[in-house]
Amino acid sequence: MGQFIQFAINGLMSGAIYALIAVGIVSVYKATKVVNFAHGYLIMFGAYFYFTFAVIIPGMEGAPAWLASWKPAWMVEMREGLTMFSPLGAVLDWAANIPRIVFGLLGALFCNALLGLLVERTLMRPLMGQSVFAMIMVTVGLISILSGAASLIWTADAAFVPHIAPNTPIRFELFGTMIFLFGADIVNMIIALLIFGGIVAMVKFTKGGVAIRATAEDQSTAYSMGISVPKVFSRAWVLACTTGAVAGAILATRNGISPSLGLFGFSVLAIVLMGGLDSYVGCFIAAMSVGVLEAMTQWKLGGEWAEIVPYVAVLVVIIFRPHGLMGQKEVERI
Amino acid sequence: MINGNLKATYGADERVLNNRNKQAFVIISIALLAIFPLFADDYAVLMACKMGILLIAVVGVNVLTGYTGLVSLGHGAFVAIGAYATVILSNAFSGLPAGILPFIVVPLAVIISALIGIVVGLPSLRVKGLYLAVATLAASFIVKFLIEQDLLRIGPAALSGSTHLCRTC
Repeated sequence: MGQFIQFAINGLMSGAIYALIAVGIVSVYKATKVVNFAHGYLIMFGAYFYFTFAVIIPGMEGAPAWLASWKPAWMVEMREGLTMFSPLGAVLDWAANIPRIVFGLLGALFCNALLGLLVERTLMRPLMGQSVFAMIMVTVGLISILSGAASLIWTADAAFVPHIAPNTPIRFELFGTMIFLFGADIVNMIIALLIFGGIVAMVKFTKGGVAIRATAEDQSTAYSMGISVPKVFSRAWVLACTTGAVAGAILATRNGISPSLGLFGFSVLAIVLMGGLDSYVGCFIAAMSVGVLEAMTQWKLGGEWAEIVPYVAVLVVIIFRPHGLMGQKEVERI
Repeated sequence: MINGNLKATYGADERVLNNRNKQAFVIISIALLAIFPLFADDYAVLMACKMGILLIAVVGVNVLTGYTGLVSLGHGAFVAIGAYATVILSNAFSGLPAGILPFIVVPLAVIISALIGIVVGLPSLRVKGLYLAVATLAASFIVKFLIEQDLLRIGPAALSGSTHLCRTC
């Protein structure tokens, strides 16, 4: 029972990150009807931008010393006399990294937003009005371009980046067993859930969100009602890329950074299809359940079997519900 | 004056090489391919072989996606299944003379691949479009994973060639 709760909590935490990635794919699909196969690679770029701004630039010559490691006098004072592995020590370690974490996150958000604009402007906008299938195939081609460009710019070596939150181990007792968690994982989950909730609320309540939903409903009618459809397109791509940057930074802190981060996008694509392409709620349910199922598989069958869990889950769901858990049925006239 | 393609018989409509240019193209390329090994070096012949192998794989996708509209992104999985079935069957029938081995092994591998294709194709009875595309992608990831697990213990000699084919298709 105790093991079960431990793995269920681990699963919910990775499920939240799946949900954060899924929100990017769903947003682009809702606005433009394009399923972005390259989303995993956009996330990888976000992770590499975080790596650039949080590790490479502070480590360069000429960068101010406080950027690499912030050590005001009061912190040095507090640090003295601390024992090894004390929780306060972990918090202080994190505090010394705050400037480069903030710099890294801001840089990643900005650069990934620019990347999204670039992709939308140069690859998607010229194809507007053409068949959606052509646009989807362009995103498949984008996979090769992005993964090649990343290994050209940053080399294919794996590297590590600073955690976003203090990584203190947390132990507590629940139903008679010890639960063991890391502080950073909990903060990551909270960030992911907040962003997910924020985007769902934005699409539901703000004017820009209404424009996105109207464009999803019917492009030409939205055009004639005075909605600038190209603007909606670029907004959706920027939204997807910025959430992707945050997700990439989180993934990079969890597993280190390497070109294989891009493969993550495929399992999230399976999750999105499982939840239903145009439903935020369905994707949330699918992401959480896949996260938990993965953790359970890891527990019972071992880590390597966990990697096919999303694919098996999507196949099972699609056979019984062809449009995902909560996806809208397409009505077609033959 | 004749505008467009006017066809009077069904035979004319079904012909693949329906004009002189196409016929000439095919005949000349067959002739070029026939004399190709005489002047090409080993590397060029190897490349030509690989092109031919990929061509066989691509023809299948052409029929599936182009003619029936079922988008398949997991075609590499079947290439891998065929490759592995060939290797496993060759090991199983290794007593046979090398001359007739391929003529037994390759058709059997085709049958195995087709049977697995029926299983993978089951979702296509209910789903289409993007959902089917991702279902085939998922199936191919599962096949690739099962191959990497090496459940049949065929060993690393068989593992070298076929995984990168999975990625090219």
